[in-house]
Amino acid sequence: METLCVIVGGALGSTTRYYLGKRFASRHQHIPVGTFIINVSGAFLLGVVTGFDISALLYGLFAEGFLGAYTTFSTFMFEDFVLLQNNRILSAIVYVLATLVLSFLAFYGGFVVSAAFIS
Amino acid sequence: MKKYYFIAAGGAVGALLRFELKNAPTLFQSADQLINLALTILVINLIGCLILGMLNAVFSKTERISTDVKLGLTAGLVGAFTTYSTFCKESLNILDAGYLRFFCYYVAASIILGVGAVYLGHLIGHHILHPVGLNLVTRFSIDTN
Repeated sequence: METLCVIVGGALGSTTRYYLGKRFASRHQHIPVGTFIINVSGAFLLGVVTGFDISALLYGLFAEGFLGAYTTFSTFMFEDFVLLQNNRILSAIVYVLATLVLSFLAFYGGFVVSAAFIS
Repeated sequence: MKKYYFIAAGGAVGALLRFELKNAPTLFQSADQLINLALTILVINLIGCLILGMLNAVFSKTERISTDVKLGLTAGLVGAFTTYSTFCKESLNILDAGYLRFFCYYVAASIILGVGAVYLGHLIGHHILHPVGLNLVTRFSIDTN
């Protein structure tokens, strides 16, 4: 049953990522804004989900399935590789650092928000 | 619209594979469960980076494969197999448990090895998979003629 939740969440998460990624796609090519927004917002939402004490089924659907598939590591790394390949070294470094720092803060922020909501 | 079905199908399979691998008990067996989980996520993400590098290198050079199938495999399957949100959560869990040094190495290794895996996949796709594929296609068409 948990497996089914992961499958459904994965299908919804990946299509949502593709749809939003297209909408956020930047016109200037310095930083891949789409994946950046997706990964930071996904980290925030996982923080929120982690703060709530939900059942294994709901965690499978939202966290392992939806948010796991919504956020992506491979595209993040691929985009950074393309920036490096095009000699945009500074953009490549800024992209990685901005994603890491903001997503860690976002996860923590989401966790604090939901923890405050519960108590 | 059709491409969304391909992405959804790929995403469902990718998320399931990740879930099963993540819960495979024998992958890492250090004393600390947090470290095992973080290393498992790292392996999953690196495999995905390698495959995405290969696929994009091959796909950029061929029109024999439809865009729907390409998107199903890249944005769907590999995109959902790898995950950023869990990487974030496990990194912060490690930091929270007091492993400051391991946290720094873990995050740095994920990025450096991640870009490296994409590059390696790119080279494999470019110099091995694509030429071999072309070779097979050529032979096949000669045989049928």
